[in-house]
Amino acid sequence: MTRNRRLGLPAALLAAWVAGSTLGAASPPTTARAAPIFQIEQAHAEHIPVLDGSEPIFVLLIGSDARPGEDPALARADSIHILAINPAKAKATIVGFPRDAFVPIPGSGSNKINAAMTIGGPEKVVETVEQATGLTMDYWALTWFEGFKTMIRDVGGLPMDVPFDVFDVLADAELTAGPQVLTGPDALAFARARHALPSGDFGRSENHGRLMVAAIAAFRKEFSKDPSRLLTWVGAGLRNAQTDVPLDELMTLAFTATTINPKRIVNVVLPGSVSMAGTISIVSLSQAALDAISTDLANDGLLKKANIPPSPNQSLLGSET
Amino acid sequence: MWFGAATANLSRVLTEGPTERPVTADRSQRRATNRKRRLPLALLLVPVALVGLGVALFLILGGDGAGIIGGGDDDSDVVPEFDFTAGRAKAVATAPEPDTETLEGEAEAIGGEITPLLDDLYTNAFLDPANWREGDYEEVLAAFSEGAASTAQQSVEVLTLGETAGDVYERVTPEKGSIGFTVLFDPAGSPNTAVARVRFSALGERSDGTFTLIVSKGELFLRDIDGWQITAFDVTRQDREAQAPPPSPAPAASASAS
Repeated sequence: MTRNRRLGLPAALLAAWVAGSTLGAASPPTTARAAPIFQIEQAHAEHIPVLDGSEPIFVLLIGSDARPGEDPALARADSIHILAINPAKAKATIVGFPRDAFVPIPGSGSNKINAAMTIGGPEKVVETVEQATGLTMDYWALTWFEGFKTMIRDVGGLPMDVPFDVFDVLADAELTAGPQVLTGPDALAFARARHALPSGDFGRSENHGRLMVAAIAAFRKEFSKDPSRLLTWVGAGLRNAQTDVPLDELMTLAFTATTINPKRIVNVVLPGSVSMAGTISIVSLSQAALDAISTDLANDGLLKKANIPPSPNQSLLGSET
Repeated sequence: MWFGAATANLSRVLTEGPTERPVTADRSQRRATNRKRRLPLALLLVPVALVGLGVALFLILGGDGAGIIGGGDDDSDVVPEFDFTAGRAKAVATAPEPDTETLEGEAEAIGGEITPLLDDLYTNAFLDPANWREGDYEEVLAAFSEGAASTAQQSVEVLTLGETAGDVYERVTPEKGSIGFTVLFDPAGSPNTAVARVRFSALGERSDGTFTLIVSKGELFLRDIDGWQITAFDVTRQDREAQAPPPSPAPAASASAS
């Protein structure tokens, strides 16, 4: 026992020495120079002055048929869309009007809706849409062929996944399906092409909505990388458009747009049927669909699934719809 | 309390000077008397001198290491000089046919107007020891508009050195600061919004002797609302551990002979 104890003591001392040495070696004194360089913590803070509340905002977006030298505000409005924004839910809805929709124009009887602007400018288009839908437009914005092309150029092109081939000689459209960055002329060609679309102007109106969704997606992406790009987009928009949105409010709308997920934007075209009024071809809107969509939008700017009409380009989209 | 008494004694000793003694006729007697008196006087002066030394040390070093006399000259209390290096300012027009040259000049001028404000902002947020030692960033928050102030307050740990920085850092010195501007003009040519792209870094010496590179990057949207105020921001902090700075080089000897 004693012998064991005697042997045990040096062994314990040796073990303690080894352990002590090892521990000492394992934790050498550290200095700032010896310490590895590492990221401590990444922290982020942001404040963007967005609109809030569930009260929807309605903006009437108008595309003028004006050619160079013509007053865009007094030409035909061949593209008419309601952009409804629900700030609280960060969602939006785009509702397109076929340009040949035959509707009452306040103070001027019934006519194709695109004639409203030739009668009284953008304000008359607003009145016409408000009368047809019962919705109150908060703002309007108007662009035209050259303005649209330049706008796209000024933001550096528009990235878009073109959903199907679009070949239309009359619109100078030669676009193959797939992701690409559209130049100004490309984007305009895509917007104008209707002869290659089975549903004609209905399909074209839906494509206008596609361009808007692509623009919101691109804007949002660019803003997330470089917030100062917001100024570039606002500048490009205002230089190439007319609008009644005051600049301060436009800035707030632009900030709000950065919160909207483009995948959650519903893009529809009012359904209707093509018929003749005398010698002119017109579109008779489905009153039931117009009423349902208008009532639904009035609540929160969003559409229930039941009120979303089928895509006019369904045959081209195939299984994607 | 005893320091007060000691100080009073010391000052009385210094001001009153030696007490006048009666002159003795006999030189040898006088010498003997003086010898007897010299010893107690020396014994008295030693503790007085020690007390004086103690008081002096206390006044110089202060109770917590921060000096009282000359304490304001301690370099850890000095606000480091900092100025952003401003890059070119870009103008964004909203008028269909803008006078680009004029707007670019305006954008440069606005950048020049805002840069000193941001120099102050980042100095107040990261460099002024009086702020970060106390975790008091009121001056920083005052730079934000009413709409942005609440979020700024909630984001104070990102926008400043932080409320507990005084427990962490001993000293913070600026490293780099660059700034670029984009200015949006309204159709009439007046500035509407300026975006400042800010890159700022500073070296923080921690209490444990290690160093942190404090990095703040982001975009600040400013509008002229009774002066330029931050209305929106997107700021990221990417602090990381850093090596100690190399020792300051000794002043180089003059190479040229005069």
